[in-house]
Amino acid sequence: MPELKTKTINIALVGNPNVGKSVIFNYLTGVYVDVSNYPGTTIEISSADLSVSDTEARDFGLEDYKLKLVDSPGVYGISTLNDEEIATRDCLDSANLIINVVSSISLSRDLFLTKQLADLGKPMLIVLNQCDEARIRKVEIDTKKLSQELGLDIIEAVAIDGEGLAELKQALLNAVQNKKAKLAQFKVGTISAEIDAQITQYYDEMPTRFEALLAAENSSDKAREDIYQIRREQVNDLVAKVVSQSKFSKRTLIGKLLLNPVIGSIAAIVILYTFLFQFLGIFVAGTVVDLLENSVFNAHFNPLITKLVSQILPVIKEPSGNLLFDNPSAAIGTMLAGDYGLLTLTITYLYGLLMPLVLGFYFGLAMLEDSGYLPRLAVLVDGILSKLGMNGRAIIPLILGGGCVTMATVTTRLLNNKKEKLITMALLGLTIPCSAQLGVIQGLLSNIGGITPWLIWAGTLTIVFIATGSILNKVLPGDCGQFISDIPPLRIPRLSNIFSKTIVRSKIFLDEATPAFFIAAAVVSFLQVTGLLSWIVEISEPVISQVLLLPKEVAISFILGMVRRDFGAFGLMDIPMSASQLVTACTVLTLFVPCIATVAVMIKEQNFKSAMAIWLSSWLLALGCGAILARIPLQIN
Amino acid sequence: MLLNQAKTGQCLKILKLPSELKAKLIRIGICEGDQVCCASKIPAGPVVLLKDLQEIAIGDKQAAQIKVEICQS
Repeated sequence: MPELKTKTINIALVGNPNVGKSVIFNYLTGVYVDVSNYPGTTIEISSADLSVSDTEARDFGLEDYKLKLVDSPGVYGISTLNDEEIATRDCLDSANLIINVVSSISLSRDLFLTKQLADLGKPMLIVLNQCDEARIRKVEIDTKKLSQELGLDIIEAVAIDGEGLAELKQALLNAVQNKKAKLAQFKVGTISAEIDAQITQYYDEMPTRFEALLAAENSSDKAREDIYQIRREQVNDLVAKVVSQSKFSKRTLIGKLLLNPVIGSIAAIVILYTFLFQFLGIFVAGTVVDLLENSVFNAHFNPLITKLVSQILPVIKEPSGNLLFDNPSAAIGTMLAGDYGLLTLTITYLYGLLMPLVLGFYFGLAMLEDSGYLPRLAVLVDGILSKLGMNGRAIIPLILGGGCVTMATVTTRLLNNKKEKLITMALLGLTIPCSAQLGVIQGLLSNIGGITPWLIWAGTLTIVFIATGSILNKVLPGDCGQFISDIPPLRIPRLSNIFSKTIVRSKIFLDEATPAFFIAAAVVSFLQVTGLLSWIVEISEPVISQVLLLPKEVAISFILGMVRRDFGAFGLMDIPMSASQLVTACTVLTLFVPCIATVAVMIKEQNFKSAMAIWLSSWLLALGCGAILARIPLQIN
Repeated sequence: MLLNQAKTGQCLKILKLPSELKAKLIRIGICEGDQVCCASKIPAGPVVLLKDLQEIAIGDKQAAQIKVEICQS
């Protein structure tokens, strides 16, 4: 009788941030994990089985064995310095085999982790990645010697081009076939005798070498520093032996300029202006959305749907009173194909507006990420953000917030400091518009013409941003977190990578947004056919028209915005307003409450009290700023 | 002098790292006694150090805890 239970071999993929682990994981398992050029992307651990064809399964005897790969977050070492390290440590603990991904262009940094992993005494394999970049930078690595010194096998790779990955997979498959998963063919690296001496006293207490080493390193700061110092010297010696290059290699001119305080700041403004205003506002929200909306949806799709629905159920253009009681079939028809119809407006919003905007945002973001620009931006803004109680790293969730505030709120996890996390979250909730809202607002503002409306909008947000940050920084106790960041090299983004990233992320976003959109539309069209919508508009009229000096229909946008921000912004497009009213409306809507999903994440990541405080203060801020803006005479034609 | 007083282009020797940053910096590759180059200094912001092929940014407050000296060449 063959044993039915398959054995699982755990393989941990470990390496420094930004060395290509996720690309390798993707190749080996066929599962896409988000690949980004900044640390902290892989916060959650993803695991999947090695993907094998039927022939491979037969040839290598994989019926009995399952190879499970675990992608760990990028770390510089395993300790307890942050959440990523703890996660990586757990995943190493259960690993039978470690694949350590090392970047050829940062060996002296990466080999520290390699040596630490080797000291754990587990079977290990090295993937020396980004060999192409080393060649470009004229870094020569004596792989043979490195392999000898480490006592480990090394596979050279250019993961992004698939180079060396077939070899890696073959090595994993061979392990199962030949040794029936004893993994004996994988070497355990040379364990440092000097470090071993430091940890012998822990051997008796700890069940494994793995735990003994970590216990020794974590016993005191001094012990850790001593072991680290020894290891660092070993790595430096090793690098001196195997790497030949000029000591200070030339940086690219662009990389240098982007970190220059003056030129870098100008470049940052130009880049963000081009991305937000020119690309997202004028091109995507203007040209593309207009084209889709007018020549596809309004010209063909919606009339067709209305025609089809009205053959079965009456559709009423401007319902009044309580239609649901008076004429239930007309109410349903109107809910399906009326002004806020589930089949008309919702689909138009989703695919005519939201989809192009989200694609546009993620495309731009992927370009910024893959080029290695974001960490440079973090350096430039660190000084400013530290005045607001954050550090440079907070720029990543803040920019991601321009895609989806909910998602960005989750990303605040990469900040290690509690105070910083709360401030970033508050600023995200209060001042950062999400992609579709951003796109629609950019579109509306650029329609008015000239840069003045945009400056007023951006200026108001900046003032609110700075004021909120400074106040919170003063009020909340504690220091802001440390800023120590290594800066990845500038790269020319690969279009294939940009496209797959854009599409995967947009799909994730739309999958989540679609049901929410239908729910929001169902709620609003229900309110409409029951007459409740006009009632809400009436009661909020004093606030909207007296305080904000806006047409009362804007209330609908705000109500929609509470459910989903982007949905609310779309509503503004159809309300006739003067130029200055539009600027006020756009600003108020941007500052207005974060959507339900964001509030839920805030409660989860912080607590109910903080989430409510942020939610309620956004009411005050939005209405307050709106009231002021509405009363300042603006020179807009 | 302290690292946050460094100017762009200076070659520096790291004299003393504060203990709360030491482990972190040793791992990335910066130890006491190392020679590094100040690649950029953002006013009231981070110092960017160049070591081997790597650029490492250190925030102003953290840099103010690191003792360095200017070395010739």
